[in-house]
Amino acid sequence: MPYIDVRDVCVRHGKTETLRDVGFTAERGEIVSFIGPSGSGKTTLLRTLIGLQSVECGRMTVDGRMVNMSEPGSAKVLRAQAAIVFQQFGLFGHMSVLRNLTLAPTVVAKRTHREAEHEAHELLEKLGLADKANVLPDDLSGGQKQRVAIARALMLRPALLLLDEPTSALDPRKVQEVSSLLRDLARDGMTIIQVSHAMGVVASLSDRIVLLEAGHVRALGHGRGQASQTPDIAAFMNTHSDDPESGASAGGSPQGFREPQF
Amino acid sequence: MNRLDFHPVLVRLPYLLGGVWITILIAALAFGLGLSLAVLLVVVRFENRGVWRRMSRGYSTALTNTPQLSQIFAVFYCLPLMGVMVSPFLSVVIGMTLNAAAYLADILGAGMSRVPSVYHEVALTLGLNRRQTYLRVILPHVGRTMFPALANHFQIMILGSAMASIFGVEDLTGRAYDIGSTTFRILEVMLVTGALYAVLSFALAGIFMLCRRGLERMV
Amino acid sequence: MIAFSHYDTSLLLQALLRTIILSVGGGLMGVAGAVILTALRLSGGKVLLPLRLLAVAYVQIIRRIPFIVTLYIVFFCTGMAGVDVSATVVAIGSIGLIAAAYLSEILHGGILTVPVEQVEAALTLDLPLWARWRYVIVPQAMSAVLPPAIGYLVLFIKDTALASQIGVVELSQAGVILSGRGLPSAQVFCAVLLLYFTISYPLTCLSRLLEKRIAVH
Repeated sequence: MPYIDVRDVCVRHGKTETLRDVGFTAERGEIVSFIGPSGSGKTTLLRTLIGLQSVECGRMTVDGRMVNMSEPGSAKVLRAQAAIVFQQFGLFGHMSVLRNLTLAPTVVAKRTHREAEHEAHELLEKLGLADKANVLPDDLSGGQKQRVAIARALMLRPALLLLDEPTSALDPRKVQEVSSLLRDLARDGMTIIQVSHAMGVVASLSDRIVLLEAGHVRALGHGRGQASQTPDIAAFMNTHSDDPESGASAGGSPQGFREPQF
Repeated sequence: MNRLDFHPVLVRLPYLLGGVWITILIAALAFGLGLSLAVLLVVVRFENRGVWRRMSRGYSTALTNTPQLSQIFAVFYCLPLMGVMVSPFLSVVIGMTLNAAAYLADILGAGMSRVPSVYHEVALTLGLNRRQTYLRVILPHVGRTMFPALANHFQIMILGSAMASIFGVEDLTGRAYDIGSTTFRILEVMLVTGALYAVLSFALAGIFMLCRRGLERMV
Repeated sequence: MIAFSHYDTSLLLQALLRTIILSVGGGLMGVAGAVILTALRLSGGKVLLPLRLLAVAYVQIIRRIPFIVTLYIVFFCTGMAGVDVSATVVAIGSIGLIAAAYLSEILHGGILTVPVEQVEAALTLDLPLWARWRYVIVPQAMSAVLPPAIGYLVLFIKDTALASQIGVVELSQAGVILSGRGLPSAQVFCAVLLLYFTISYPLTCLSRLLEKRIAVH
């Protein structure tokens, strides 16, 4: 039985069906990538997995526990095990990096400040941000914000980490860093699902690839290194490798240039 | 034609200066209480979609389109009719609080609509409930972005608190009027009083600028 | 609701008229003063420097003095100078003095929002001074000036209530008089507040509408 099993997800916006009978599976510690043209429903699917998107139908089994996603109380259950990193990061501008990280652990999980801060410092150090703990998010570069946002999500100790375009704000060197970070996290048993336009990253990182098209699954690829060889997926990735939206292959977004010198 | 004679006023300057504190006290009390009320009003405005929201909007519309002086008069005359006896000082503070809440709710509302929409979703996925989201995320953010507008309204309230003198409160203007009627040097005392208000306002502007800088650096 | 007698109603309406006269008179004076102050602030050259500084100081200081204090100062100044004018004229003058400072601040800020390149472009077209203002600067500055200016006009209307303190029987004073005559306070004040609202609210709406219109463009 797979660790995560998502089935029959349908989402409607008015009359249009944004997602129709979407499903996929993943094992513990795997990295799954959602790819597809703009408007194919990648981000919507990601949002359903953490209860930010109301669905008409859909079931999700995590570690043998079944969640009926269309039930009102399901969002809480989904959020209890997952964390998400938004494309715009959503770092709270009036709090230091450290406070961004410790807010949820101290306020929601009721852990002590000392303990939470200790963990936050460790995490920041691991991500190469040890000296940024007392800085405000506005003073960080795009790449640093990205890593802080990931760190904040990790503070929730999630079993499932969701990322929306994790490399779009990064220059190529930082893309490598974030990629290897994700790989390390997966090796430690965390299941990771990302939406990405950066085909190079998708090909090298993914254990599974879900190709979405107009709200349904066009193709599923499976196996590290082989997922991108599935015919439909390979064809899509070839035609979209120069996608202007894929920050990495386009050589980094303007934000990446603000990165201070190492 | 008389000549200006400031001597009788300068002799009574310490008494006049004492009124500055009462002016600040009135403005600060009304601002603090008004801000608390404004937070309630604005949370209702953003959380409720029905009649409460309309009432909150209506409150601001009604009180920002009528004179503060008449509002204070209404409190001053109507509270005793309801059997509530309050001092003139308190009547003024209550009247100014009600007025400030209306303006401050509009300011906070403008700040709320500028909170990045992703903040709400982030707070949700971090597990914060609505109350925690407001207290920890939304309101501090609004306070920071709207600080200049809030500080500006405090200045307006310092000026507005001069109305307290009409009700016999011994604020700066009230004491000025007292001195004027005992020394018959009302023009002189009012000129000095105007200067004192200007100095107070410049000083507050300086303090607020420092606060703002501190706020931007605050971690 | 107890009906007001004919006499009471006419007192209220006369007071309402007085409030409108104060607002319009003070507003017009304010606009004239604001144009002069702003012209001085934007003027160049060394000759006008003292006047320029004076204008800046005036705008900065007068906005930091409570209206009621300004009102007393003007009232007792005219008294001391032996000028025999009615309290209404004193009140209009005081409102005008303050309005000039506030409106100048808005006008000055609005004109500064016009991009420098626009003015330079007009210069390269050899447009004369009046044409630069008439066709380039004023139309563009108006969008930044009108909404807040009307917003301040609403504030002036409410500030006219303070004219009661130098003996002008305007709307709020009429309320106090009627209440003193033994009419029920609650109803008197409701009527007074309602009348203020009727003048003020349409202007508030106009200000918001203009703001939205401009935001769309």
